[in-house]
Amino acid sequence: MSLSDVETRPELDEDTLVDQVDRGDPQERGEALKELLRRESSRVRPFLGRIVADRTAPSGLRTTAAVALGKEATPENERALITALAADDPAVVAAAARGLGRIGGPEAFGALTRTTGRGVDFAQTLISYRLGLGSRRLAEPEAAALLDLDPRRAITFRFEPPADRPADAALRRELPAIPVAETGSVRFRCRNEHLWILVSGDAARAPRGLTERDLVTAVVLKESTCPDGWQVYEYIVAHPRKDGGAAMFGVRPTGRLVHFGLLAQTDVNADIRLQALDAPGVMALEFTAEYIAADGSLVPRSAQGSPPSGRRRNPPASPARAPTQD
Amino acid sequence: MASVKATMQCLGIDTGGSVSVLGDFFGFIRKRVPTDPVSTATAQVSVLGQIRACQGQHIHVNVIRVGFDAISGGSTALDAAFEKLDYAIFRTRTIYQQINLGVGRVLHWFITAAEANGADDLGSEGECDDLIADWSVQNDGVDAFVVRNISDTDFVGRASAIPGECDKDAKDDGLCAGEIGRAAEGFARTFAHELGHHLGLSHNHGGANCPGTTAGCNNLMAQTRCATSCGGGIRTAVLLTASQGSTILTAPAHCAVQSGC
Ligand SMILES: [Zn+2]
Repeated sequence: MSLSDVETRPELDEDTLVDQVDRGDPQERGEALKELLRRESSRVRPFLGRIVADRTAPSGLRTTAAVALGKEATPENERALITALAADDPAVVAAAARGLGRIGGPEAFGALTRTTGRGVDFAQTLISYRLGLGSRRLAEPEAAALLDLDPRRAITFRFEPPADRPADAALRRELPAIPVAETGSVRFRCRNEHLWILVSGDAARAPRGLTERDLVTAVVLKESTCPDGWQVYEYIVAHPRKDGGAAMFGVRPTGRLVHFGLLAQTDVNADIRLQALDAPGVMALEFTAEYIAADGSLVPRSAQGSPPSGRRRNPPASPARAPTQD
Repeated sequence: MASVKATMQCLGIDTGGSVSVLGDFFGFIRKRVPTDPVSTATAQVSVLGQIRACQGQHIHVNVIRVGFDAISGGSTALDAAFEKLDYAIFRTRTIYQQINLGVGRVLHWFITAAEANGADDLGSEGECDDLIADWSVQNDGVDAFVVRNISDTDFVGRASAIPGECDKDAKDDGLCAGEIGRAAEGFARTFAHELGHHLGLSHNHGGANCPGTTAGCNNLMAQTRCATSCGGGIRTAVLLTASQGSTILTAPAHCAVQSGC
């Protein structure tokens, strides 16, 4: 089989591909595994754990297996990813940690505390908020780290009427261990972006829970056209504050903190205000909403975004120029 | 007819030192015309053709390779990776010639695996989006990031917005043009396809799985799966229509499109 065969020969059967995962050169092995995963082949599942644990396998093959394991919350997948935390390759550890952040439980949390590496801290943070462990909380940023809206260039978000949620199967792949409430979601457009805030099942079920325990309150999905579908854009997590309210954090799937705000409990409901943090590419934001305790829904009051009014403290970095090869 | 030097100066290419036509004018990192992956075909370039292409509307491209220092296999593997980059540039030029859009200045840039902090192996679309937001080349070229690996099989390349932005402080000011671990033909098509999104083209099959016609399946903006399932394959499925050309080039042209030299 030549290098380009996997992509140009859809008739290749799964036996050939399975064989190729174990035998070819690094590129062939990677392409064969990816093709099996894209075909959602049942043949691939049993050996993902073996690949991710195989110290002799190419890095990219192992990370591909780890990412696939992190898309389905099963005890076997969690065990395989916990094993992978012991890998020598930092890329494999990072991919395993990321997967555990998505699907892991208390055992994974414990294993991550004994691991160092990229992505480990955020994986623990995400598990802690998901499970309400009250550990590994995000720190409230200083006021100076928040971006000021530029009123002259502000764009008002267009909120849209409720619509059907993404298909359950697609939602489960994106959020394998975060339940999503049936109601109370908010969709909106900002310039050419289409976003959807889905309230988590935990937030909807525990009306006063937003100020009682750590939890993932909502997930922001962004519509993507290539690839097609909705992807996690941001997790909105919260933990109680001493003043009786809650601190809310918008965190990208990479662990980057991009939004912060406070939730103030009113008589029954709660007022929410979120702003953006100074990070590359992040727009200044002023978002206010009311959280309705009775049904766990989110009612936006206003939302505006703009380029930051002042200079960014964190502009994008410049790559180095590469000379032509002699 | 303008000279190569005058055209290069118009494109903003430095002509001060020793200049390589294949390296500096055509933007091939190996300063050679890449090998066509089809053994019976030969990739060819024309200096006159490139001068003419730059006299019409054109774009500049920054090819930003991410974590290539972590590619295993030594100098042979690295050279093969560079040749794939050059083939993608070669194919992109040929493909966009259909709508009279030239590919002018091509500059190469790199981010090491250490600097990329994990983004040399993209495990989710979000990581691609953060990579694009975190890094920018401050010039008027389109930033096309090529990573070592994409470990999430949900995507082979990604445009975070359609169309992409030109403000280099914005988050959608580039595209993840693909992973270098793929075979050359598929990589090159994805490079050109994601660039198409950045320039404002959507998939040509809306919400449907694939287009309903063979011509549609053979369009550059059909997804890879359509190129192989109902089109003539990834090498053939690179057509662009006049209407797609208008989307990029007229009323108004995409902000990355430069007027002719
Ligand atoms: Zn696409």
